Amino acid sequence: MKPVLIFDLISFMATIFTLIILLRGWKRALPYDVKLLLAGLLALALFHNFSNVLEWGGITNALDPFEDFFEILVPALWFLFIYAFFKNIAAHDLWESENYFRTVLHSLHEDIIVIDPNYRILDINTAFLVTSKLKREDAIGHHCFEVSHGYNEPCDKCGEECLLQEVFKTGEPRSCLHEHQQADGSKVWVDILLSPMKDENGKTIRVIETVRNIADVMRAKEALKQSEERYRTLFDETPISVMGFNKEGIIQYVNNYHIKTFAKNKHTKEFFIGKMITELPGVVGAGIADELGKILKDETIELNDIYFSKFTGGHSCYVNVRGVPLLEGSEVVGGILLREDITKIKLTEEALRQSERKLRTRNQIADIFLTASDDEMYAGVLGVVLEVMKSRFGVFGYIDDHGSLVCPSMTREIWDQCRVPDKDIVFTRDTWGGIWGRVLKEGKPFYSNGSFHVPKGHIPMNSVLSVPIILHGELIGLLTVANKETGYNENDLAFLKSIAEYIAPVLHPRLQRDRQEKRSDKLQAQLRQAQKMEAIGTLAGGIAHDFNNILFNILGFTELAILDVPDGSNIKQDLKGVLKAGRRAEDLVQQILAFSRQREQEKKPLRVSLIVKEAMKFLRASLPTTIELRQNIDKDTGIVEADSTQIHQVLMNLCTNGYHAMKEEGILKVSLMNVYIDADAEKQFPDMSSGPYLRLSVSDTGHGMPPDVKERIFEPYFTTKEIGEGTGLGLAVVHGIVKDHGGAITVYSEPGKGSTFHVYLPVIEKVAESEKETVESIPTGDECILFIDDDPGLVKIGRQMLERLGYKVSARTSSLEALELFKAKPDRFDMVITDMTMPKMAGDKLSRELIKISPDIPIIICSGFSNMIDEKKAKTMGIREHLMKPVSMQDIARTVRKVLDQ
Amino acid sequence: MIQENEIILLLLGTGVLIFLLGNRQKLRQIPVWKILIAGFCVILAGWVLTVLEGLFWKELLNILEHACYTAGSILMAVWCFKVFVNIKDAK
Repeated sequence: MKPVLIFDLISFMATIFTLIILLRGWKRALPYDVKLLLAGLLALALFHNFSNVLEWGGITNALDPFEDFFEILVPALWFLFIYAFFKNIAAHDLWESENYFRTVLHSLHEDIIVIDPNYRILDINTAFLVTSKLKREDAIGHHCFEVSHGYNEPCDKCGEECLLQEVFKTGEPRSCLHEHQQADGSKVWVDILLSPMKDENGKTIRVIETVRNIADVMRAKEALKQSEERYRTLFDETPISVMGFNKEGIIQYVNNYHIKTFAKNKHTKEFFIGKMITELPGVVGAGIADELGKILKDETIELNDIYFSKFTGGHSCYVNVRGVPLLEGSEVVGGILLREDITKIKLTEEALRQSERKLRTRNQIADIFLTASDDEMYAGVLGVVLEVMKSRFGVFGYIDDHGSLVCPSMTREIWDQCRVPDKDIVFTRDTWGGIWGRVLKEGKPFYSNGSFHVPKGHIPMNSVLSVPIILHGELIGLLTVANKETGYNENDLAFLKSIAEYIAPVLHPRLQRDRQEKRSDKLQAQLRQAQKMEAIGTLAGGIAHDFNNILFNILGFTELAILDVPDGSNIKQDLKGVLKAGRRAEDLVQQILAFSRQREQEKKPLRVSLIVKEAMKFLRASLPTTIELRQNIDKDTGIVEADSTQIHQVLMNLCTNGYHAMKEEGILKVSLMNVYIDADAEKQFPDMSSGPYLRLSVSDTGHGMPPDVKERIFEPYFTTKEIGEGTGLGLAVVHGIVKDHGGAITVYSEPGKGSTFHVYLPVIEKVAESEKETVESIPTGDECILFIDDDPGLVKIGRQMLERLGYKVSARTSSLEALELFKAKPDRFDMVITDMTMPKMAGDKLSRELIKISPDIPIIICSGFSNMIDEKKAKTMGIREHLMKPVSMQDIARTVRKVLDQ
Repeated sequence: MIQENEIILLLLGTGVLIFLLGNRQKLRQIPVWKILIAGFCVILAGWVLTVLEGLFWKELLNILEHACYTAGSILMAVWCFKVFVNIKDAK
């Protein structure tokens, strides 16, 4: 078989196959005309192939005449076939395009209106129908001003601006924001775009109006504006400094808070904007510029408690810093620096720390005050203060009764290291010096740092803080600390001051308690002394009674002897001397009684110079000749109101002490002069008022006294003498007498140089009673007197005295016998003189019995000492007079006569 | 020997080819256009060979002419199959 035949057969079969496919898929997507032309083309191919097959099959080519004709049709059919394709594709494209745009038109959210030059609506989209709630036929063909606004005329004729006409006129698109009034009268904001549609000549034949409802946009815009306002306010007023900068580190914005607080309104925002953030003075001063650079490397930084030494506002504060990078995508475009002022927090924390420290210190001090003994208390408190003040040395002292600073708690190191020779624990007011002395005098705290001038041997000082302890304006102590390594500042001063204020109300009662304890001890000593004195008084009373009786004998017989001796004889002078000494002895007995409170002292105007001169005579006789006596007595010394015996005793005690101080030899000086105590001197003697005084001075050249002894010499029973040499009462008695006379006594003494006592007595203007004896006539009488005394000697003296005076005397030594005698003949006696202390019946009882018998009988009681009766009591009982033994002849003569003459 | 109808056929076919080349952009919109155009081109080649066999190598060119017709028929069959049966390829 020839290859050509094979090809033709294959072609024939392929064509048949193609036709079958075509027929089976006739209803498929291709256009109808395309399918017809394809079918025709296949039919021609089939015919051609069939003709070839017949030709090769030997069959006469009967189809050849048709074959040429049909072959020529093949290219034509190809052309038509392709053309049909093209035509259908173009139509499809057009339909598809129109469908696309229409779909777009109706899918748009905006209202689309197509308007012709006569304002008639040609087309609208679905959005318009939805918005306007109109039907399509209600809009198409109607005027836009009717449909959109409900007008009967174009908008421009209704007073509204309309851009349609302008678009038709200019052919240019226009847009505007417009508050559109809808057909129902409501208004809504719209964004209108008017686009011209032109014909082939460029004439605007239609306008496409796009209306977009922007009510939501406007609301969102308003909300955005409000939101932005809120955030701007938040940004500006948030209590944190906010500073934004770009990637070059240049500040872009700053909030108001920064301007107000960190810049203190000294600069505006413009001052900061444009500056490098790392070059701001505060940032440079704080040393965090390098840290800020990390922000631009996409790092977040947090720096706490940074001290900014100088802000642009000129102040300093503590700040917490936070820096965050500002990103756009992953790229750093800048940063934000946030700074929070924590100065108040820091200050509060510091105050809290101080408060805790103060509280802890107070607790420690309170614990010490409550539990420690006096000795330990001062050292304990000082230890706490030194520890809390980080100081090496310190002093804690109090002011004693004398106004001196007592420092029982100086730092031990001071005592160990200080080589000043006269260091002392008690600083009297006149020794207050240096810083702490100034603090004590001014009552104000003080501190100083630096080197100080200190005495040789004193520990070196490089810083001192001293605070007075004051309570209710009264200085009660001192707290001083020294040599803190870092020096002291105002905080230290305030802290120590607070400690002092805390200590003051605790220390004061403690000091008061100590003083009361001392006072209580003193009172107990005084009580013991009083009890002793009472015992002495009782003893002295008994002795005085007997001694007075003896003196009565001496004085009585002496007086009788004087009367018997002629005037001018030496014996009479001697007897007068005896009488004078007896009188002095009588005074001393009275003084013993007064000292033991058995007798009230008798003050009267007195010229002390006479007492002194007399005492000097007595002393000269008593003291050894190795003691030189010097006296310097002003002639015109003033008069003082005093008990002569007591003044005598003062002088004798002082001189005796001076003699004891000198032992074997020395000079004892006694001087008496007038002085005037003025206002200045008054401060030295707080118990004295200004005015004229008599100063009695006694000085010796003895061994003198150290200060601690000098302070105690006036205490009862305090003595430095050997046992048996002194009782310790001498100066106590002197002190008591001087005080009792409204005077004062001072002592100046130096060890090895002797002592001087000055006694000040206030001068009065009265004239002193003359010490000279006045010769008076002795009254006499002849009445009958009953004289009773249990002492036969006294009975004898009494009888002789009375009989010398002319009286008739009946004397008895027994009160009972005397009573019997009086009972027997009561009218015989004109008077009764009786002793007080007698066996069986005392004088007062006897007197009572006698008065019962004869109520008018005058009775005189004579007693040596008795606490059973005094003058007042005697008068109550009806006793006319009370005489104290020993009684002189003159006294008895005057008293008897006086009673008898009543 | 060259026949007149073959010359006319070739000329018409060439005209169609020129039309196709002038609208080659639109051709791309015809489904499976490459096979269709390939089929036309093969047939057009057969028409060229028909003219040429009248001048030389009659036997050989005649065989080639019929081979071209066969190829054209097959390509048309394939095109129709893809367009009407295997619609996915057509799209």
